[in-house]
Amino acid sequence: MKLYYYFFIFIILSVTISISIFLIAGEFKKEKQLLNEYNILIKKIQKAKRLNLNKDEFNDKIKLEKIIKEQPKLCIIVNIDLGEKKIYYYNSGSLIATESSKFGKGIKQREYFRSDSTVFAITYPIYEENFALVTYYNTNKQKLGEEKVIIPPYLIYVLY
Amino acid sequence: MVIFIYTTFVLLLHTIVSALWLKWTELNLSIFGVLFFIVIQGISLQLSFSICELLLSIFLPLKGLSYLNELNATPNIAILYTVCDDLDKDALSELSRQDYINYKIFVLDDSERYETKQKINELAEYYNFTIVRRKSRSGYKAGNLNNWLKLYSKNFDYFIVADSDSKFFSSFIRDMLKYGEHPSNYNVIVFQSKLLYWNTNMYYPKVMSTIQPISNFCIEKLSQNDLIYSLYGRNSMYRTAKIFEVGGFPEDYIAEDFALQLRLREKGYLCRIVNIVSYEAYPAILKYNRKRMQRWACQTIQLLKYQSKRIPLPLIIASIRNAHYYLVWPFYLLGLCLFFASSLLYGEFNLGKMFNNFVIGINFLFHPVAIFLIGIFLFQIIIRAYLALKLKIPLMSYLKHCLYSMAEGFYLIVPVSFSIIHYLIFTKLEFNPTQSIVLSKKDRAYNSLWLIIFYILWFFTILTVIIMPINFILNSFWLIPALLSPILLWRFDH
Repeated sequence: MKLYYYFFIFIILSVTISISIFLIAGEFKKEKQLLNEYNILIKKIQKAKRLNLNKDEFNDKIKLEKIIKEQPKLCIIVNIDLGEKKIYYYNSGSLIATESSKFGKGIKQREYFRSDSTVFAITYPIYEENFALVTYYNTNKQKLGEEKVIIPPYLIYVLY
Repeated sequence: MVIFIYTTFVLLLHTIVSALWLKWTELNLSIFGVLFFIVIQGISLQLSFSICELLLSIFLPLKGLSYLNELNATPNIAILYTVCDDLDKDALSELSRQDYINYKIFVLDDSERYETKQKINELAEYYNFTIVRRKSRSGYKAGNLNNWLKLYSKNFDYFIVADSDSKFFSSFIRDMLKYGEHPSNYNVIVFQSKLLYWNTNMYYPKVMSTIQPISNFCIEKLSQNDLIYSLYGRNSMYRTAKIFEVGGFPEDYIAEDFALQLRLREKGYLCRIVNIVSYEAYPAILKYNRKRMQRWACQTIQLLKYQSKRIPLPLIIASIRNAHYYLVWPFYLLGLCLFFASSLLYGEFNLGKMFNNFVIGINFLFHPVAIFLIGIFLFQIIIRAYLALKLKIPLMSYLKHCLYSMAEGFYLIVPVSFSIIHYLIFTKLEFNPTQSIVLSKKDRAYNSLWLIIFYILWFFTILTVIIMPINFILNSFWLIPALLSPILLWRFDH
């Protein structure tokens, strides 16, 4: 074998080890942190009220506003309809932001992160028919966990 | 065992630097992020090798070769004086002053100039040397030596290779034979003496060769474990029959000395450094040393083409380390260019944001990773200072050497990097003796490019001093020699 094969093997090895150790160490730390936060989050979700509304109920703005105002903390309303999503971000009944776009691939970072909210962002790529994948993030924009949910026409999560 | 400790430590140090860098940049996959990462990889590996070599040199015990107190026999010895238009009359005539009886001097003359040939003829006639000439310069120095092996090897037990500027003490042959004739050294085929420089009355050689005792100290320790090459192809003694047996000097490589060591190790033979001092001339002026560095860089990289299945692991690592030492030079150049470019083009090209981008660019050097690299670099200087004191080199001479060698290093970045890139693209390499070189247009172009880089560096430094003086202070250890390099190097050439 020519010496330059050894040279390339050594260089590739040294670079790979460097990157791998960093990534493994980084992932390990991240996973541990994620697991803790995820467990806390799951408990909160278990306690959370989950309200399924039909299309008519959702379009009834008066009823909808009443529901929102009744919630003490963050309230996220999601409208999944024919490949288009509409997300309303509320906190203590006040509308923080809205977003409307078509489903895309991958997870897009949102601009709606609020330090005073418990759960800060949710993305909704179509997972498979009648299902959506809900992804949770914390204030540091770190992914906390995922949840596969059945898609009702309109879904409301109320988190305390 | 030593090789595993050495390699592990190198990789560990390298990993720490890389991990710190990646942690900071958070896997920045922009063009600048990736290029900076490549530069950091090259530099950190270079520093890791260097630190580990120094530490091993300090902590490894020295196991010298056995030698006879008195010579019992007088084997036939040939001294081969190799010359190619770079004749040194004093050096050649001094070869005849050996106090050994049974030796003969051959002048292996590859010169092309008529005047040189005439002078050699005159000296050979006066001192009774035998001149060996050939029709072409095929195989360069290796070809020249092989030509002698074909003609005369049967008549001699040992031969000593001398370059045109080599000088020996009168007891050199006897001292070398005390090692060669010791029964326990039967497996050692080449005995390499320790090199020092005789032309230290000149300013440039004096300053640049200050740390040669440190190099000898490290090489002697490391070479006993094959962690470094121990054969330089000059001022060394060879067992003629064994060299003939392995097929002589490899002619496919300009670095015939390193290639021979690999060839010998494949057969289970050894090359070792012995505790005998010999002398050669350091390139008298900077231009010669530049050419030598360019040639060494390319010939070391060329050696990577060597094909073998039986080279021991330490020598493979030594080859990798040698090649990396030179291949990292273009990385220095790339690093400098990125340093300048990041100031203008960080993110996107935007003249309006130029000032902000410039701050980001110079901030690179203030980053913990950069500080870590600087720390390793300074640590290396401190270890060498410790060795300098141990080997009784005056501290001021050592510091002066550091200043000048950094200035020279800054100057050499352009020509050495371009030579390497040129060789990697065209893979053509020729051997030219160091002192017979006429500067070409290409060399003048290198000088101009270096001056451009130098002016840009001044411009950036002035801005750095105004905006972020702390950055300047932190980087002063390399900026000052770089900024003063034209003045320091001008002194070298005059």
